Amino acid sequence: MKLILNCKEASYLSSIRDMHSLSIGEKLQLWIHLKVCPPCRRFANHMQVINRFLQRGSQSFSKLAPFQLSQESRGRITRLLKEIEQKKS
Amino acid sequence: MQSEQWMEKYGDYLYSLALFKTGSKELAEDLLQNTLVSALENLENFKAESSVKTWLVRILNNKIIDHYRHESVRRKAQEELQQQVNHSDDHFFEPTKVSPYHWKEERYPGEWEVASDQELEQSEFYSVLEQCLGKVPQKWRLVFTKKYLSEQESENICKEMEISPSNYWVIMHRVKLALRSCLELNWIKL
Repeated sequence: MKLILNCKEASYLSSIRDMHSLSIGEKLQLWIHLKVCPPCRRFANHMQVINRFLQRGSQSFSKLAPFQLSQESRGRITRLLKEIEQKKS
Repeated sequence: MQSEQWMEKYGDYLYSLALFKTGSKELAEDLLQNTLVSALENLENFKAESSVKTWLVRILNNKIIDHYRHESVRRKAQEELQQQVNHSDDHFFEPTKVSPYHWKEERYPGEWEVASDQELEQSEFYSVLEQCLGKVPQKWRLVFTKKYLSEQESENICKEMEISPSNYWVIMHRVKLALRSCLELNWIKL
């Protein structure tokens, strides 16, 4: 196992570690790299921030429903569905 | 009426989900409409053990997959090109004396200290995230949102999207690399 990762490899480990647990070897490699590389250290911190937001995932998304359907489209779809329902019954 | 209740309760949520996954308002509206039409037509298949919401989301997800299966043929050539252009590693890294892949100076991750003591709103995060996802290829966007919005298992996503696990991890990483720089420009520095 090589001890010294390059920045591409180190950033890869930083970004997947919230989804995929790293092996002891990978943890060690990343730790060593972060010790000596300021930009990757920042990158790793940013990934923590981003992953925290992403991990709140589906529950918060479902509560927020961040985008609203326009009134016009809402009306159009509602009318269409009503028609179908009336035909069915 | 059944459909009015659905629109009222789940309309915006289903629309948001579709918009987030596809990045197109028109497509998201079509998908929502097709989902509810299908739901009405298949009402007798609805089983009371799952919630209406879960059932509707499942129909929507199937509609999205169908759409891409169909679209994918047409889009494939263009997509491959886009992937090569946007996501070659030399966008972020370059060889130096000490390492074959070192951060390019202009790509150095910036200082986020200002942002970390601000209360950042989840809803604000989503709206910037949606913008930023506009810059990654469609298929990647779908893989990414399946993981983080639908919370599907990685293994499942690979099967559905027909990609190998190693491609899957690389896609996730590439999306995050792109996201990080985009967020830095559009959100952190607001």
